[in-house]
Amino acid sequence: MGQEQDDHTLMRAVAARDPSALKALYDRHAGLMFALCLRVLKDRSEAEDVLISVFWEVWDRSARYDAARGGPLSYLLGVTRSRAVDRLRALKRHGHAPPEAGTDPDKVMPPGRGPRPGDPAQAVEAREMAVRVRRALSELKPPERESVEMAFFDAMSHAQIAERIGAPLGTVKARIRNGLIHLREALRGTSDAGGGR
Amino acid sequence: MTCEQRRDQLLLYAVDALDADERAALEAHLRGGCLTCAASLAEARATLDHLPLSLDPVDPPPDLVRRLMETIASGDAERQKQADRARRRPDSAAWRRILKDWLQPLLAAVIASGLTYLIGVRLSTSSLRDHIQDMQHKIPRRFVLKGTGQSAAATANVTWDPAGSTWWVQVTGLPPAPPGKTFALWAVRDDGQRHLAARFNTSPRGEALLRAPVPLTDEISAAEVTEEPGSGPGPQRGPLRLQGKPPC
Repeated sequence: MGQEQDDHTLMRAVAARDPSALKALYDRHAGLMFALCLRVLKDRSEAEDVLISVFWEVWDRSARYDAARGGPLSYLLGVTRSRAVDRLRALKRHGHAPPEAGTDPDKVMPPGRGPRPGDPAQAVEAREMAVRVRRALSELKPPERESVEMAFFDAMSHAQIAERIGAPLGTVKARIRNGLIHLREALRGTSDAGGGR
Repeated sequence: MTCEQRRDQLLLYAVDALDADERAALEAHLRGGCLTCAASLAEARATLDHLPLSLDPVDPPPDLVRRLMETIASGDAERQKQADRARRRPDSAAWRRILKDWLQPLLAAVIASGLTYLIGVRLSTSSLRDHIQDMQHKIPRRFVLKGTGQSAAATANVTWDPAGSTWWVQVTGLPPAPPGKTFALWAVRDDGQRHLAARFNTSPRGEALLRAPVPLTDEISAAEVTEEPGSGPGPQRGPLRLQGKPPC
């Protein structure tokens, strides 16, 4: 597998049962996917487990990826969040609640290097997108940002968020709605998260 | 409510933050094929898709990729073995289909007919229906547990005998538990209580066959396999290795 193959080419190779293509996707995107698992689960062991499950699912059900619905990175991150939330809910059912929302999930773990360069143009686009998303989030009002992040990363219902922060239910729904509206406006015109066609 | 008004509501729907009633109403509208709202939902999901990009990447442990590629290789090998077995014994797969699609309903019909003959015309229609349902509850059913995490390649086929309150379980693709540990098969009731059905370990080839008594099988909503310390029933606390749901 050449280093400059883009993610779409790698996904097609995965569908053709090429394990080196899966490894290349892992090398490029596992850092961000692992960070997402950690953010949701706040437990390194559980996050490792889910990360393996996600790549296994990408391999085993490669036919499910539809380039028309979004780019590869968007697909990978979507599957990652879904499986992490599934695991979070299973852990709660088993009485293994994760640390409180808002706890720094990284603890003493060092940050990653970022995705390894594959397609150089794709790497530049990914960095620019990350900067843009962080800026858009930083421009939200803190209560809106808090509610959006608790809903998305902690998979909390608006009722649970309202109870956690001690705010009325209607206030929480308004904060989530307004926060996402502002994000939508700030990110309008960007390509999808994975540079889909 | 107009589709323009729904545009903001779809943002809440995309992040699963709607009340049950609101969600049901919106889903009914989407099922109606509204293209405007479908496009708005796609836009909402695209907005949410960007959120993970705000995170700083964190390197997984260096051995994780090795564990992943081993899982891929063992899963593919297991799938190939199953395909080879199916090719060598096509008749067994055909017989299983015949049993499921024909013989089980035929057996139920024969038993019902026999009951009708023995009891005679005094048996009412509703009583006959009750007897058929009772017989159907005694016909074995099947479900599958699927592996999770590093055990993603593992599966367990469960044949459930309601009459005898027994699960017959065939496990494949699950490497043996580490020293001092065993696997525990749990039946999870509707009310969340867990029944320890069996403890077991797998062979070096990752296989196991076990028979597990499971009382009150009609109240079981899930089955799980976890990795536990080697002794003592204890509360369920080990890593989850397989999970699945019995048929309704």
